[in-house]
Order: sequence, then C-alpha cells, then structure tokens
Amino acid sequence: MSSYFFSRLKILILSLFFASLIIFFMIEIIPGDPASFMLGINAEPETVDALRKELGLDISTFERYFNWITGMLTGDFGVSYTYRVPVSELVMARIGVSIPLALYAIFLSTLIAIPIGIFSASNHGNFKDLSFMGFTQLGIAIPNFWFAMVLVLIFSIYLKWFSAGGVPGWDKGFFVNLKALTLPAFALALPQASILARIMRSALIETLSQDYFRTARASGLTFFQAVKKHAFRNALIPVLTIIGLQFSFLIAGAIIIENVFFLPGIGRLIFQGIVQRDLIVVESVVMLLVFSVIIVNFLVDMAYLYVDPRLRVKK
Amino acid sequence: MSFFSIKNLNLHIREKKLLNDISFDLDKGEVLGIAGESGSGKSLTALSILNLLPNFSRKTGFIYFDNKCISDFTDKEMCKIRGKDISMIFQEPMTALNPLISINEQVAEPLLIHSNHSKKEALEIATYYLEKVELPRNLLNDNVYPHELSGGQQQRVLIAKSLVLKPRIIIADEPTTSLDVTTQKGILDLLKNLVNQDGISLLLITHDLAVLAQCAHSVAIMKSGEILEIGNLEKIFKTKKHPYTKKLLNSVNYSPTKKNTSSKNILLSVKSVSTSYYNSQSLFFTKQNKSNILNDISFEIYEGEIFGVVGESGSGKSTLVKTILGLQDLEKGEILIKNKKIKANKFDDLSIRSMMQVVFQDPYGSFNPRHRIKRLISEPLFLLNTIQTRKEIDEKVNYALEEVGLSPNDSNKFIHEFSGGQRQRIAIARALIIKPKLLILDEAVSSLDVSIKAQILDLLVELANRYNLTYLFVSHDLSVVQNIANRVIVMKSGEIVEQGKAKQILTEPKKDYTKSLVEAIPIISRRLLNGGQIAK
Repeated sequence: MSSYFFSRLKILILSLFFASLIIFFMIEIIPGDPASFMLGINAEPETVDALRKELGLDISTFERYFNWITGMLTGDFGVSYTYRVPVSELVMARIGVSIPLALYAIFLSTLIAIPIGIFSASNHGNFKDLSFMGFTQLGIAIPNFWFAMVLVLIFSIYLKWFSAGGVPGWDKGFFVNLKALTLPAFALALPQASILARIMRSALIETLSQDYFRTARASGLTFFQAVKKHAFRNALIPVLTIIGLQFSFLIAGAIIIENVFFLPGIGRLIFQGIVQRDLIVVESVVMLLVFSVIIVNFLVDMAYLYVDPRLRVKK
Repeated sequence: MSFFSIKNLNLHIREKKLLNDISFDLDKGEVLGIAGESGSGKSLTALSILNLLPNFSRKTGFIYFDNKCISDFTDKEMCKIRGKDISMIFQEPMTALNPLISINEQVAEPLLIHSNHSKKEALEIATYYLEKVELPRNLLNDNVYPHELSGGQQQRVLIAKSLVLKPRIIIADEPTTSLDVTTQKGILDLLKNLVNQDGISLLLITHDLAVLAQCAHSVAIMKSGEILEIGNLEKIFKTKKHPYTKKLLNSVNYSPTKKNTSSKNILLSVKSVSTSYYNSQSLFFTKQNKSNILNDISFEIYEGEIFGVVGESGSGKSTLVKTILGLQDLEKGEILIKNKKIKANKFDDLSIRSMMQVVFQDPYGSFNPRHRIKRLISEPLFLLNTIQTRKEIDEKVNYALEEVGLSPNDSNKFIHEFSGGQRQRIAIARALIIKPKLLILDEAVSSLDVSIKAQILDLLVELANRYNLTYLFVSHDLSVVQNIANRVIVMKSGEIVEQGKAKQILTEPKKDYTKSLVEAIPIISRRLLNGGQIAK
C-alpha cells in the first residue's frame, strides 16, 4: 500500500507545483493591466501607478508568485480587484453551489449509466443493446443548454414542479436546495451519463469475454450472479477513471448551465473575473480548480487501490 | 449405458458447422483423451457439454448424464450441474482466475453456490483442498491473490476449485499447455492420482499426444469438428489406422536432424554478461530493490551452427535475447558480433543491426495488421544502407516468399489472411530477406500445432543447410532442441547450468536440474508405438 500511496502523493505535489507555475505565468503574459482597466482609458499615469502600488502589482514577478503561493498555503487568496473583498469569501459563497451541483450530477449520471451499461452489455449485439446505445448517442449529441431549456419548459413552466432558476441558500434547509438543483443536475448529468454508460458497457463486454468469467460460469453461477460477483468489479476500473474526470469537469464546466438556471457558481465567477481583468480572482479560482481536479484524481487512484489487489504491494 | 454419453452432437455458430456428429461414452473412473489440432472442435465439444457456448450457436443431438438428457436443460438447471457434478479446468491458468478476489475465496465459491456451508466452513474446506493439490504452505493464508502465484500454482488452485464438491466428471481443456515441462508433469501426476483415488472420470483435451500417452485410457482423435477415430489408446496408437492419426503421432516430439556444419570462426561471443531489474523506480529516492536476471553468462556461437538455449519460464532466456539484440542494457560484460560490440539502444551502426534478425513466438501479434505482406517483409531492407529500386525490392520479396514455401502472389495480401503456420513462414522470410549472419528464433515454434511445428522445423533445417545459416534457437521444449541443435546451454534463474553437445546433454545429463527437465518431457513409449520412429 505505502509505496503506491507515496508515489501518487509525490505526483500530486509535483502536479500542483507545475500547475501553479503555469497558471501564474500564463496570466502574467496575457495583455491587459488590471489597474488601467479599472480606471478607464482616460486615467492619468500617476493614478494608475498609485493603484498598481495599492494592488501590489509594482513588485517583481517572482516576488508576487512567491507571495501568492505562500498566501494560498495559509488560506489567504488575496483581495479581489473589483469587488474589494477577499477572494476566499467570494469562492466560499460560490463553492456552496458548485460542489453540491457537481456531486448531484455525478450521482445522477452514475445512477443512470451503470444499470444501462450492465443491461446493454448483457444483451450485447441484440436489439435492446442497440436501442439503448442509440439513446446514449443522442444524449451525447444534444447540447446540454438546450436540454436544460427543454427541462425548464416542461417541468417549470407547464408542470410547475420546479422553479426555473436560482437557489434559496443552504440556511433555508437541505431539501429545498436539492429540489432547486435537480433540473440543472439533470441537464448536466445527461451527456455524462451517456458517456459513462458507453464506457461501462464496453468495459463489461470485455470482462465478459475474459477467462475468469467463463470459470465463474463453469462453477455454477448464473449469468447475473457471475456479472455481479466477477465481471462488475473488474469493469469498474475504467469507469472510475471517467467518473474522476467528469467530476473535475462538472465543477468548472457547468458555466453554461449555471447561466441558464441563474446559479451563482464557480463557473460564473471565473467568467466575470476574466471579463473584468480581476486577475487575482482568476488565478486563485483556477488554482483551486486544479487543486480539486488533482485531489479527485488522487482519490480515484486510491479507489483503484481498494478495487485492485495487484496494486497493494506486500512488503 | 455409460453414466455419461454424447449422441450425434452437431453444432452451428452463425450458420457455420463446427461440430459434426460427435458421439462418445465415458465410464466411471475412465480417462478419455480428446486429441486434435487447433480448430478441430475439441474445446467446443467441452463447452457444449456444460452448455457454455458463445452467442449465436445452435446445438442439436443428445447429451446424457446420470440417466438424464442434459442437452435440453435450461440454463438454470445447468447451473445446478456445472461445478457440482461436472466441473471444468481451462487452458490459461493466468487468466482463468479473477484477479480481484483472493484464491481461497475463489476455491470456496462452488461450495457457497451449491451447498449450505457457511462462509467459514467453505473457506476451511477450500484450504483443505488447496493443501491436497500441494500448494506451498505460505500461500494457504487469507488474502493471497492470483498475481502472487506462478502459472503452475494457479492451475493447482483451479484444480482445487474443480474438486471441492467432489464432481463425477472433470473436463480439463489443455490443462498443461501453457506450463513448463516440469510443472506439466506435476499437474498431470496430480490429476492422475485424483482420478485413481476418487473414481472421478476425466475428459482430457489436449493437442499433445504424448501427454495423453501418460494418463489416458482411451482416446478420440478429432479433426475439423469430427471424430476420426475413437477407442482404446494402446490400440489406436499401435494400429495407426487413420492416416491423420499416423501423421499426428509422427510429429510428436519431432526434431529434424541437422548435419553439423559449424566452423571454427566465432560469430557471436557473449562475455560474462549480467543484467538486473529494479523493482521500484522512484523519482526522489534511490533506494532500489535489485534482482538479477542474468548472472555472468558466457558462451560463443560459431558460424554455421544451431545453438540451443533451453530453460523454464523465468530462467532469463528472453532477457538474453533482448541483450543480444541490443534492446536491453547490460550491467556487466559485453556482447560481440563479428568482433563488433553491440551497444544497447544505440542505432548508429546499421551494419551491426543487419547482421542479426529475430523470429518471435507469437505469429499473431508480431505483424502490423494494416500493412501488406510486401511492406512487412521488405521492412528490414533499410538496414542495408543502399537505395533500392522498387523492382529490386519486389524481386527480393518474391524470392524470400518462395524460399519459405509461399507464393509471390501473396505479397499483396494482408496478414489476417494467413494461418499461424503461414505467418511464422512470413516472419522467417522477413528475417532472412537481408541475409543476416545470425537468426534468433525466440520460441519460434512453441505456439504452433504439432504437424505445423514439424513443417516449420523442416523448413528451418533446410534453409540452414542451404545457406549455412547460424541460429540461436531459444526454446522451453527440450524435445524440439534435441536433434536440431548442435550445441545447447541449459539455463536456470539467470545462470548457465550445463552446456555442451545437444545430443549428449539431452541423453546423459550431468546436472540434476537438466535431468529433471529431460525426465519431465512427455514421450510416447516405443511399446505403445509398436516400434515407431520416436526414440526412447
């Protein structure tokens, strides 16, 4: 266990370090000075300089990188140029929407995808399989903002089951928020579930043709018992990988859906940060996203360890 | 009527007839061998019995077991028989166990399916049977997973799994084919003892008639989905009534003789070569576990000889080949070909590369399926460092194809249009097109059917005699090497155990390890063959 754990941990730390370097210097070379942007094109050079000093932009690049990194390590993400509030406050407010939404969407997509994948693989090649795979093709092809609008049209406007957008906030109770996030989560889950179902299906088809599946059948297990006991766990490894990638995508990639449903999420925060040259927000939020992606992948790697005994090296 | 019999079994898969009118009986305690080459329908017969056929298959005919016609049982009814009354052992032990579940749980599985034992009891019974199949003590604990076992040990686990419910019939489909000779002997002895002790009937499926001669009472010879001959083993082997039976028997342990044409000129010299493998390669820490793969190996190969390298899996044969081909670094020592030093992973001197070519074991995996034969065969020509016209290349390709017994018309085909034996001929053509000094044959005939193997061996000897070629012939199969090689080295855990004239080593081995290897070769005794051509 330990050697695998430490090798993954090393990869985690190195990835974070290189990601921080890349993010910082990429933003460094993007044209557009926050100070002159905030003051408008007619500002006096002296005023701009004064503002630059106030924002801490006058010191050298490396010093600023060092300050940024050490700040983040102590929980200080800097102060937003435009909102004039600490970035951590901004992020904390948004993350309360984005992470539950991503988790909800992953939950739904897994819930939909795994049974479909198993069903299709067990009917490999026949009509049932082909029709389900046709549906997943559609699920990938339909743009999710369009699907979101259809959901709003049906469930909010005609049936009036859900509100068309916004979240009440977590102080109003768990279930009201869950209900408010249901439609966006469905809209996000549809393409993810379609991809995941296809991955589940092909991974399972491969394990069904493995010798150990035949061994299981030859020792008297029925088809579904053998799938449950022998094939499913073996097919889970590629599925876990995809779930990890999808979660990272859902945290930041929900920006369009957030706009459709008026949700104050992380995606919208970055978008506004870029538009307003609020570089400290962009930097910190992007770094935070990278951090979450890397952490999720680390957790997925640890999940492999649980699933696959071959990775647990014995001393 | 016997307690198990098959009557007029036919099988179609997607309208293709694969089994034709198969009928046989099996008595209590009998060992029936089914022999035949790949594609003869042996395995499909076995899978038909358990009704585990692939999709789109259609089966007619009757299978009787215990006075019941099980051929029209539903899958649910069959599940009560599979693993309980009739159990099965498969060919590839390495893949037949679920890698994610511990071995004692897998052995206990049939007990949990078919009987009312608690999990604890089932695991205890499983451990008892794992002891019975002579699995080493340190592997009897909980939480031992298949990847920690060798191939032979995995096969023992599968045998234990097939035994836990004391079945009436065991179907063993090529149980020893992917194992070393010494391991094979152990597994066969184990199966034989179990059959004698418990009165289990055994259906032993194999392509190797010598294996059958060790333990079967009766034998069925199959070809293209039909049983050609069936009956008492001794009678069938003695009379050799059917020409196909005769052909199969003649190709058992076949090894054509090559006259010794070796000169005194040293072609390849391997000088105290050692390599090792590091278990954990780490970014920051240099603490590494080293294990030796080759340890102080030295030998010389003379021009014009066939030099054999034999040993069990894990003995370092493949690593030796890699170092000679310059695909792996040496830790100590050096390898010279024609007094030029082979440097690993340095491709600057094409003349060194062009002196050696290799033919690998797997005729299915060693070709790019998207290239035509012409392109595949002409690939090594770039090593010659001369610009050639398309016409010259075509001529060379055609000549090489004819040389290995194929037709120039084949040069525009793709590799999937050829059988395993033909592919191996193409691999030889590809190796010989630049007239290398040294041809390395790394288990080049090991995965071929016996009759095809005999043809390829004949071809190799013929080519060697005609062009005075030098071969490095690597094989785990001593019977192949015995006549074809002039000199041989026997390897064990990265060291040379014994070396010398091939005939001498294989008839009067001096070291115990070589003795055990030689004794483990399954042979058909002369008594059985009525004074046939196979020695000993």
